[in-house]
Amino acid sequence: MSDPFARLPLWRRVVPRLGWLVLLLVLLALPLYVGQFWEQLGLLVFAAAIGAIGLNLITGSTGQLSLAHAFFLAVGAYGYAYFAGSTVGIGGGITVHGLSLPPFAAMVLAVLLAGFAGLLFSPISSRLRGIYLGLASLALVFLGQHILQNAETVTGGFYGRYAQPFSLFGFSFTDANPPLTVLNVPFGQLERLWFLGLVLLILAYLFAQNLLRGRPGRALQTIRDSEVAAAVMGVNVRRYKAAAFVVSSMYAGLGGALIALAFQRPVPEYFGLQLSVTYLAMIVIGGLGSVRGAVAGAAFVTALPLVLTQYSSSLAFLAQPGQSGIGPGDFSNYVYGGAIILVLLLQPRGLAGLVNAVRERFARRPVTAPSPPMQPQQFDPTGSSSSVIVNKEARQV
Amino acid sequence: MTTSQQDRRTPRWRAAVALCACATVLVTAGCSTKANTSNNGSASSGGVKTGPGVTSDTINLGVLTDLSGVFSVLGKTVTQGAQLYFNDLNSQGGICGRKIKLQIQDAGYNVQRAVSAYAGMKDNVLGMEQLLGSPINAALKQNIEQDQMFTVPVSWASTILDNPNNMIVGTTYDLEMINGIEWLMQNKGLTKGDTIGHIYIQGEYGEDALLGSKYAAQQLGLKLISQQVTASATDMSSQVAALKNQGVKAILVTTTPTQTASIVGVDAASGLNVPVMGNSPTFVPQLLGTAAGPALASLFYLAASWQPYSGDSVGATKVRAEYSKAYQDVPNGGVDWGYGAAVAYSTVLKKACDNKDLTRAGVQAAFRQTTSVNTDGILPSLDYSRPGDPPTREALIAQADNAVAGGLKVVSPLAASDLAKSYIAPEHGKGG
Repeated sequence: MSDPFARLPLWRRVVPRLGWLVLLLVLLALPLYVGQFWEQLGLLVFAAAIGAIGLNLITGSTGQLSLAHAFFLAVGAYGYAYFAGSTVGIGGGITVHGLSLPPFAAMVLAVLLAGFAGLLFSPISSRLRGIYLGLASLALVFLGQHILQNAETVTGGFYGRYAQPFSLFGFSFTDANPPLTVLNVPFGQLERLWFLGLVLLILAYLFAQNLLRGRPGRALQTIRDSEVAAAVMGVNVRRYKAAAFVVSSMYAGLGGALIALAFQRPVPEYFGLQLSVTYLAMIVIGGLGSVRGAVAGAAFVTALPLVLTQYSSSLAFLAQPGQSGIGPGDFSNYVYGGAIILVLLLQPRGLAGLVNAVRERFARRPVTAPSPPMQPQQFDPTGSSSSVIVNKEARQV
Repeated sequence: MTTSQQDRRTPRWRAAVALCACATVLVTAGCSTKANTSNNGSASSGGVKTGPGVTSDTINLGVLTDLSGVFSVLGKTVTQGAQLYFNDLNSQGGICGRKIKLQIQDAGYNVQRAVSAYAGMKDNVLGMEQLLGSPINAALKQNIEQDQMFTVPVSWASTILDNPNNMIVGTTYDLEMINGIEWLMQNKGLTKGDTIGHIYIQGEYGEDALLGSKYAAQQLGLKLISQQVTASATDMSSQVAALKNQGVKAILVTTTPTQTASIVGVDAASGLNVPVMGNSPTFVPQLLGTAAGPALASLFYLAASWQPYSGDSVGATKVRAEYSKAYQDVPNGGVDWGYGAAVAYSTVLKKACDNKDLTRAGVQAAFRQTTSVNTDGILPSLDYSRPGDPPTREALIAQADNAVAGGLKVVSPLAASDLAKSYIAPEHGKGG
């Protein structure tokens, strides 16, 4: 049973790969067709997906509840703005400082800075687990808010600070410099950033997949199911938990840097507790422990309220602005809440589980399906119960 | 591998390959709907230069408000006030022979939703008639400058005066406080040497008001004790107790309405019983229905630069008549402000029309030529010819009163105190 793919008929080996290829082509072609709203939306989805993959590593795969994700996103966003930005005066008599580094170096440093912040927190994150870690990480969010509001020379305080546009080898991700027209479509800031976000997301996705399919992934899943069992099997539990936290923070850092580019001006208000909860919702709706689930959940949670608001005037049952009744904002909150309840009740494995369930229907031999279904008890985010290890790699051992 | 599987694979194969080929063809053919469709350049129609958002019969304006978040009460009435005015204006023929159309989007006081909604509307509107939320204004600052988007923020912080595209309708928080403190001196027995307290929220709203109270306290010889709170805090007992220990003779508040109710309630219950003076956003009429209602009616005053819903001016009376006919919601001062802001915005657009330039640059030029906005007494006359300075320094004092619609009645009409006239605005000389 060395390669499960080898036993599948040809079409079942090819179709999934073709599916990915088509998805990739569609994503590459979209900026040629859609307007600025969708480009901005796509960019926010890419950023959220990278962040959600990171949170999924620590909460979904390792079973450690973390509410600190908003903090690490903020570290990435403001880290980028600080490293790439220059020293300028902004409104309200505040002067922000910056290092004026090349944007690419600034992005790398922002990711490293977020990882370093995760490392500083690791003495706590490697000792605590479950709800205790959740509470301890909650403190980081409030600490972060305080720092963002008050460290005005770095963060710009309440008003936030301008994030320098990205550029790579002299190619700037702005509307001009150099002006670029592809197939008669002018390529402005959002089009260029779309491709940057897409490339970063693909790299982040592949890295996470490889990590989870390899030895570290098995170790993390063992820790999630039982720390004692993991320790007995020779896994250095504390080290792995700390490492997972650091990697997760670096993902958040990259997502944060991308958010800074999408917003142009990150503000502290955005990086509050609600953002952490939103990211938790993403990985729960997507399916805990699944990388592609995290991406799908991020897309769903990010896009739903924005799209509903944008197209509210086409939905006749929603109240028009100024009138009484349920408006698009309220409605998207209801749909969002309803989606979480439905997922938890009907498909606890989230969107990823839904896809697998559909695939099972078509599969002749479910045992050799590319991703065997996971057991429900894996979805206890506190990682307290199950000792059953059910994943493809473990079964192959 | 059975025969049936073999059979099944073929059509799927074909479908997949066809899909793939289609995608490739579509991409490479470049038959994109987006190709070269941008028309940001100025076209001319009927002798008037036009830009984004302006067609031969419509002027589109963006409204990015809050109809589902924490400021939904305010966002809704402000939007309704604007709709009332533009409906009137359109029935009289609009501006430059064009009807005004509002593109209203609800961002729910959420930065991400606002950023994305802004990207969706920016190429289809001439300017932003309403942009609600301080964090949202801060996050979109760069975009607004880049796009030359002429914007009315629903905020009265003097810090936003440094953005040349922002039009503040009314006076700023610091000047509200200065006028309010002088009124307390003249009417509530405050004398030189007395101690006053100021409870304010962290952020531009509170800190801008604090600039005003510090200035007034220093000039008038009062001792000021300030207490900073976060926007999410609800119980103000410890802050009021601390001020009581210092023997304050009055409390200034720059808080959320909920916090105002807590402060006034504790003020009365603890036997302190000193007058409380708040900035314009500190009060909503719904507070009068809470347990703190009686205390508010006897102790709470508000400094604002526009008439409340019960105002006696021609404009406010007209708004009241139209609003009660069109809507069933509980009214508040947001209706009057929304109406006044729409008047101010239209005044600038009319100027741009007279200049035969309805592009964004043309509106920007018309903005600085606007030296008076007539709102029939809802707001004082507004002068936008001096960048960085607030358009007016006048404020009125209103008192909480359950008997009138909107919960506020005017006790001292719009006027600028001596101190307010001599105050140098923090962004003075900037924003050009």
